[in-house]
Amino acid sequence: MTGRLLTLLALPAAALLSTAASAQDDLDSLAAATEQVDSGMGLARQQIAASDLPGALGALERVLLSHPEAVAPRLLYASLLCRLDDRQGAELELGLLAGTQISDADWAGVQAACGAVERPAPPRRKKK
Amino acid sequence: MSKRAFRAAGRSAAALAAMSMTASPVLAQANAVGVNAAIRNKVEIRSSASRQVRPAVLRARVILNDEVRTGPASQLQILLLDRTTFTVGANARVAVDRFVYDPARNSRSTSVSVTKGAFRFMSGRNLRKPAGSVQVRTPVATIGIRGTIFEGVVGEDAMRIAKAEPAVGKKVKAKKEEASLIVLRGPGPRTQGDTSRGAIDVTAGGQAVTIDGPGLAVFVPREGAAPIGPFRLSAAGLQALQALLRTTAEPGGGGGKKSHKTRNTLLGVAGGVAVIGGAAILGGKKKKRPTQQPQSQPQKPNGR
Repeated sequence: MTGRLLTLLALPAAALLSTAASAQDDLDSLAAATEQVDSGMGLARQQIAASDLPGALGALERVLLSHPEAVAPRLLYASLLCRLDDRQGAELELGLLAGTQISDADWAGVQAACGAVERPAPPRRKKK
Repeated sequence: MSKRAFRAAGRSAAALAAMSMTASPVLAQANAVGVNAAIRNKVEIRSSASRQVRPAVLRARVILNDEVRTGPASQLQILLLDRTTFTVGANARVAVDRFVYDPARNSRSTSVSVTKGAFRFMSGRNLRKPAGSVQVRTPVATIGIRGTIFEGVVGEDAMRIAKAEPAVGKKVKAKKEEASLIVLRGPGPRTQGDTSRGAIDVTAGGQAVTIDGPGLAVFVPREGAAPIGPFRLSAAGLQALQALLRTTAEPGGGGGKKSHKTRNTLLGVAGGVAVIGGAAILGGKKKKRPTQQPQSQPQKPNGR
């Protein structure tokens, strides 16, 4: 009798363990996805499509902590700030991209989110 | 003892053993509230249980009451179980004091204490719903959060940034150990999609101030003082705050492709779990957290 009772008690603990481990696995996956720029951008776009804008912002922040020189994630980050109505923050991020090469396609994405906004200066051409 | 009684006792022992095998990891890791999702430069964790200081490791579990300690030009992004993102900036001391999360009811209750340094808080999913009693505490202020993104800084940097703001001025009496500057970043009233406008309530010196617009800030100069503001943080002020939470390769941020290092060591046996079936209620003791630098265990810069 006691044995059955204890066995029954053990089952929910195991179920609990499984659920909790699953949640931790989800976090591990989110963290792992942002170790590389491409997979991090992919995750952010998925989250944007799912209307999880803060989640996407967090993902891009992770990408930028690991790859501070990456341009595309910062452009998407700035676009998200515009969509969250933090224009001042977006302009600050764009200002950090001065001297980098930004493709017209990427810039169009920023303009779609931010409207009229100053484009960061392109890299200076070296004098021959 | 009869054979029947003996068999019953045997089953009990077996069941107890089985239960302890399954339950002990829960007990051992029940205080895990999230993971270290990104680490830059020097970040250490001081265990609340053993008092030992160890280097932070990517994807290691964040344990309730453990103190995060960051060095210059260093950052840690914590991803909590409810998908809240908490970024710890340079020279900071931060701990998660309380964490309650019931995914079935989408209810949560979180308390994070920041005794020093810069931080950024981004609410988890379902911004449309009230987050419950989610708060960040500094030595002089309590910030109640209503689904939002905000940043803050505690200590000398808060004083430096705030005193350059016309709304605060240089004559304000502030204490460098406890001065707190808090700024809301969003979502603002013109936010797109189905994300709702965020707000924070800053309580200090017996007064509460609500901030509900991006770029608006308050400054609490010392214990017992009422919040100054809200005022619009200047571009220079925001830039100074961002430098502490820097994600750029600028030399001023201590980063740079060459000097920047990110820990990517995986915690091989970090199979920790946290109780979230139903609700996890993890409450910590409120205690004064030491702010001194760790005395021992010199850190490798990269944990690799």
